[in-house]
Parts: sequence; C-alpha cells; structure tokens
Amino acid sequence: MRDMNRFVKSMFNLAELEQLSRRKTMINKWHPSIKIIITFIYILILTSVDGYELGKVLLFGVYPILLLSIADIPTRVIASKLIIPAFISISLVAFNPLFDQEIVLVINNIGISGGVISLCSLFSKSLFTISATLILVSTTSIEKIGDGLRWLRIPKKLVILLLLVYRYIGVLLDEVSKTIEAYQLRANGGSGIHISAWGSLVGQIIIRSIKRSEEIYNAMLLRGYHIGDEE
Amino acid sequence: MMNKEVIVEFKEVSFGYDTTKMIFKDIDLKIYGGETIAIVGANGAGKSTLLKLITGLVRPAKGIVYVDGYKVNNKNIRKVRKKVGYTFQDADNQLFMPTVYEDVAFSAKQEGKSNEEVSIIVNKALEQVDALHLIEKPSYNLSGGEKRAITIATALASNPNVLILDEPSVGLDPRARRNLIRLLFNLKETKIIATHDMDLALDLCDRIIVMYNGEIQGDDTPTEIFKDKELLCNNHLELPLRMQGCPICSRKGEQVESIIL
Repeated sequence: MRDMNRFVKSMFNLAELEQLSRRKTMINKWHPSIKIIITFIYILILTSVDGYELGKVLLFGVYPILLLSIADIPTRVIASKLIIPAFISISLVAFNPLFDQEIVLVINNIGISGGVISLCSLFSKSLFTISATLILVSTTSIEKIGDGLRWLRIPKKLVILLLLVYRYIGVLLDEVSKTIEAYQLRANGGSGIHISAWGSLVGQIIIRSIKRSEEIYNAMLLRGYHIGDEE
Repeated sequence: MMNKEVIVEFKEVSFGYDTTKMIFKDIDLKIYGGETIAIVGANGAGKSTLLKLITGLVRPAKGIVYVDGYKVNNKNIRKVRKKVGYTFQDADNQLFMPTVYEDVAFSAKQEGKSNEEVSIIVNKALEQVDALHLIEKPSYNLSGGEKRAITIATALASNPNVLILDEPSVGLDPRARRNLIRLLFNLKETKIIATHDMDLALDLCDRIIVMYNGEIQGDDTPTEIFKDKELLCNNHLELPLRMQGCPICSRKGEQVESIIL
C-alpha cells in the first residue's frame, strides 16, 4: 500500500512539471496564448479523426514526440503521468473488439477486425491528447496559462477555478495519503484497505475536502473576491 | 504606537451557531488603533469566532460590530474587508493560488488594479515580510515559516488597518517562531492575535484578552494578566514557559516585571 501511495504521489507530482515549466527553452518562451491555441487545435483535429483511420491517428503522434525533443522534456516525466489515463482509456475501449468483429484489414493472413482498429485508434488518441496537454503544462507555468486564458477572453471565474483545482490536487492527494497512512498504521500489517473501511475513509476525505473548500472560500472573500450576492 | 481611536468595537454582541444556544452573550469590547492584542483561552473558548465576527464571516445574532467606524453588515462588508487583513490557522487554506506572486496579488487583482500596480503591491508586501526571494515559488512548496510569512504578505497586500492572526505560531520551529515575532513586532498595523502561545503573547502584545465559554474573563496588560494565577488557572491557561522555571535544575521562572518593559 505504501508503494501505491508513492506511485500515486509521483503520478501527480506537479512540482516536476512546475520545474520544467520554469526553464528557458525556446518553447517555454513562446506566448502562452499561442501554445494554448496550438494545443487546442491539435486536440480538436485529432479527436475529430475517424475512429477507424488508425494510420492518420498515428501520424498525430509526431507532434508530442517532436515537442518532447525540442523542449527537452524527459520522457519519463510524461510517461509516468500517462499510466493511469492509459489504464482508464484502455478499459473504456476494451470491449470494442467484441462489438465490432467485422474484418477490415488482413496482414499476413491474419484478419484484423474493425473493433481492434478502433481500440488502437481511440487508445492512441487519448494518449496523444493527454501528452499534448502535459507538454503544454511542462512548458508553460500555470499562472502563465491563466494569463493566456484571460488573454483569450476566457471568463475570470473559470480561470480562477482552474488555478484552484491545479493548486489543490496536491493538497487533496496529501489528505488521501495521510488517511491511507493512518489506516495502515492501525491495520495490524494487513495489506490493502479492507472493504469495510472504504466507506468511512472516503467519507472522511470528502468531509475534510468540504471543510477545506469552505475555508478557502472564506479566504477568498476576505481578500476581496465576490461572486454575485455573496451574503 | 497606540492611538486613542477605537478601530474595532463590539457593542452588546451575542452570537451562536445554533440560535437556541448563544456562544457569546452581550460582549462589549473596544480595540484601539496601533494596539497588539492577544486573545487567549482554552479550546472552544470562542477566540476564532470572535475574529470571524470582526471580518463579517459570521454575523451577530444581537448587537453591532464596528470596524474603523463601519458597521459590519451587508452594505459595508467590502469596505470592512478592505480594512481587515486575516491570516488563517492553516496556511494551506490561505495560499490557494499556484505561486506566491499570484497569491499575494490576488486582492489587488480583485480590485482591478493594473499589472504594474499589482507588481508594486506584491513586491512591497513581500519586502515587508522579508520574503521577496520567494516571489516565483509555488505556494505548496514552502516551509511552515515561509508559508506563514506569505500568508501575512497576502493580508498586507490590501493595506489593512487591522491585521488578524489566528494561531500564527502553530507548527513553526523555534527559529521560524522567533522570526515571526520579530516580523509582527515591526508591523505598525493594529494586530489581533488568537493564540495558545503565552510566550508569544508576552513578547509581542500590549494587551491580553482572556476568554472562556464565550465570555471575556480578563482584559489587561500582560503584567497584570500573568500576575493573576487564579485567573489563569480558572481559564485553563498557564504562565509563559520562561516564567515557569525549570523542574530539573530548579531554576526559578522569570518574574513578569523583569520581562516586560
């Protein structure tokens, strides 16, 4: 379980991305709005490619690979953050081969069904889109992304929301990690979390999150934030 | 340092989270400009609630709270909050933006100030707390002492008349605590500090308010408060550590008169 904790922490280790975003590479110096627009257009075009056009989808892989090399971002950093999204996306498309069994391609007398093609295509799409987003975050600090979004006339409230979410991913994970450790210390060496404890652990985390969000909202109010009629 | 102008006033204030049970009953209190006040008391005595009443985060069931002449009500709430800087007990609740700059700049940006003005305000506030070197750091990656300094800078950025600190020394190592006391000592604003740290109250404050069960049990200078052992005992408080003496070497604790000038 400690390994799981470590794994989750490393996956969401935002400090790594922060450090990368504060370097002075060519891409880091680009105006954030330009990077946001390019990433947005890339994701938009990629997601609109037909699910059966695997060849075209794979061509889009050139973009993240190219950027990784130009921006000199260690592949390990991006790869470690792709593990859980990859697992989620593969589980979402895992049944495609069962639903679509029509053979659309034959290679060396081996028939490949449309379901397999769409599985590979959708899986690649998800990895490429997430990679592009991670590369954006690793080449642009979060406050610059905020500035870029404001420059693009995205409403201030949405930008603040994004910044808050980014800021509190780490805090929430810390709460989760502390809760797991507290459980582990009293679990008599048992492995994993017993099913009977899941409810109360999740409940505790939710309660703490709500309490914290109330405090943060108060902190914002006290520093001049107002949204509609607050009182 | 202190002037005779009342900056915060409670007039017969009663408050309860549950309308059937009042935490405060008819509290009267005056705080003068430039004062540094410690609010001390056992857990649940009502210290944090008193602070929240000043900021308008909670409102009295009866009575009126004034801040710098303004009634704390819906109409004046923004003016009141401009006058009051507040730091939370848990710095992570206060530092909600991704970087120190963004955090300190938050209130100025809310006021619609230009980027140049915001930058000047941030630099000035960080200079005041001797933390200009942290300006580009991510807020979550700071030490406890640094976080505390930045929370104070976030409060100072709106140029408040009153600075409210809820348990500022909690979780700080001795050196960070000492730095905090030095920092607070040099700030000219009226300071209201809720604390369990009697040594901090002794070192920093010129007035101590003792609370118990939502009532003010004592309100006097540190000299008088720490002389009154019965008052301390009845309110679950103790003398500052440096006045307690050492049980191992039998050194006697310092006398309050020799500490306070």
